Amino acid sequence: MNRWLFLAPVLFLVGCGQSSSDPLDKIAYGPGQHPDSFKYLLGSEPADAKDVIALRGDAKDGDAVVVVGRVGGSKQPVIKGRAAFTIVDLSLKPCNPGDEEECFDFACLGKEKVAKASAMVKFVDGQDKTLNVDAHQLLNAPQLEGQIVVVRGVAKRDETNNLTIQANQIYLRPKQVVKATESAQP
Amino acid sequence: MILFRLLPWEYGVRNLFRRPGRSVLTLGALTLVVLLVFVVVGFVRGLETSLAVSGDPRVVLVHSLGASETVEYSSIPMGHAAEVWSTSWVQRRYDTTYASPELYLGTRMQTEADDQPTLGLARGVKPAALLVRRQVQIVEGRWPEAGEVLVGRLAAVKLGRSDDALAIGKTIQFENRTWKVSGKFAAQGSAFESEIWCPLEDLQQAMKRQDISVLALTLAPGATAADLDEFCKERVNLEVEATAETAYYASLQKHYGPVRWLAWLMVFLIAGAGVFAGLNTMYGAVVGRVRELATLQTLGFLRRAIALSLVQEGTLLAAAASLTAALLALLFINGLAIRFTMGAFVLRIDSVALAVGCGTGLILGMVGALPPALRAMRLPVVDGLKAV
Repeated sequence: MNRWLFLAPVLFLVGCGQSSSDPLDKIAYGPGQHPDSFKYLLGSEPADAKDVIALRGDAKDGDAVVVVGRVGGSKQPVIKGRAAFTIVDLSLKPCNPGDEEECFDFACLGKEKVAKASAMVKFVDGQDKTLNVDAHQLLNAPQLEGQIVVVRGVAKRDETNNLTIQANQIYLRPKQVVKATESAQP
Repeated sequence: MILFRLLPWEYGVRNLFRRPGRSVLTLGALTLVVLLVFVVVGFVRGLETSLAVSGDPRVVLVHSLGASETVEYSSIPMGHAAEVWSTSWVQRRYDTTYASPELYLGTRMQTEADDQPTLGLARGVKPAALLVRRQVQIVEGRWPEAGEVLVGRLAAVKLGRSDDALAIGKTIQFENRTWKVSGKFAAQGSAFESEIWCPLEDLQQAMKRQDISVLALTLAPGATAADLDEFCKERVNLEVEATAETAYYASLQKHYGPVRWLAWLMVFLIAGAGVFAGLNTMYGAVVGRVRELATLQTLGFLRRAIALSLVQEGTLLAAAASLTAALLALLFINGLAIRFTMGAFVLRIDSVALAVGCGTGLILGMVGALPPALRAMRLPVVDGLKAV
């Protein structure tokens, strides 16, 4: 029996590496998580989310909105050290088909097309100042780039009609669900 | 602690002079090997230093979306750039904004003596560039006026020409214009030194462009690159993003990562070849001294003491070779300019290069002497004494 003992640590490690049956468990209760993340992370996807392009067209300053988009639009869509990032409309197709998670800058589409399908999402404090914590850490998402998110918040428009969403809550759509949903689309 | 009687130190030293021809040849071979190591390490250090000193932690580069690694393809309308430099995160002093709008490109250039143009780097700048690019110093001549250029210390090297080709008063042609050299600048070994700077408006007119490639900004006290990045990303209509200059050059360093690894591999290969050369020489030296080594054993010296003496000889030769190579490297290689795709840089024999080169030399001496010494010690004493 002793000769099988050496396998114990291996089996233990394999057990640790298996993903939880509910991906939300990992998102909401992962190790090293920021203490404030529970305030923002949603356990289920909000209904009636609008696409980024649609929201850019009709959202007014101060409107309560729910938007769905992909974290992307540039090589570094997440601002380093800030709880802020850009999202792009889900209709933007990656440069290489099937490369949704890796291709999030959509560089091949041209900056004008990307800009027209982009919005900024930021988490702010009481004085409307962006939180000085990296969004990866706040949302316990080491690979936020390319992630589909559903954001609930307040729309802010500036004089040049740019759209910023001051987020109250966010839902990170699990990646395996993303693939299943997208493959079901025509 | 050594528990056996060693051969006298002088014995090993004197042995080197007993066969001066062989010693000089070995010294020459080792010097050459260590010198090659110095050249490769100097190349890596020069490239690393050039990119490292180019980034100023207080400077942020604003460029068009998706051009974070290729600013020469970036294009920002002047109006958009003005919106960015008017923010409170940019340093201001006495009504002067520390903002440098620049048009940067690689273009074909032809000096007076050239038949064929070659690829050079041009940067259209305003005088504010000197406020933002703090490492730049005019070392000769003056700031360029209309139709003039200020050339970097290594611009001639980048073009593959002698310094005289870009002396003050000489002319150079690019973008269908003839430009007169008004001065020279140094930039602490940074990448700017291989560029040619001219007035921004002149370059825009020559290229029939009204935009700029990049906006370099000095951060106001307390501001961070993230502040500007957030501003740029929030103003989606500007179609620009901000990158800390240090991050920009760090990303370039990443591009040259394979080159650096290749260079280090060359160091190992050269050192490996050096070890084999050393081994060969030391084998020859030991084989010719089998009788002498056997005699030392009969006199009562232990085999390991004799082996240690042989290693001492090898190490002494290698140390002398390392010092000679270091001297040659400092005199003839240090500061030698090299062209590469992004511009030019100088080979740098700095403390790291000296440590690596001399360390490699000493290891060569020690490792190269060990196997022949051990082999010689395996021969029975009687056979050794009878050896011719």
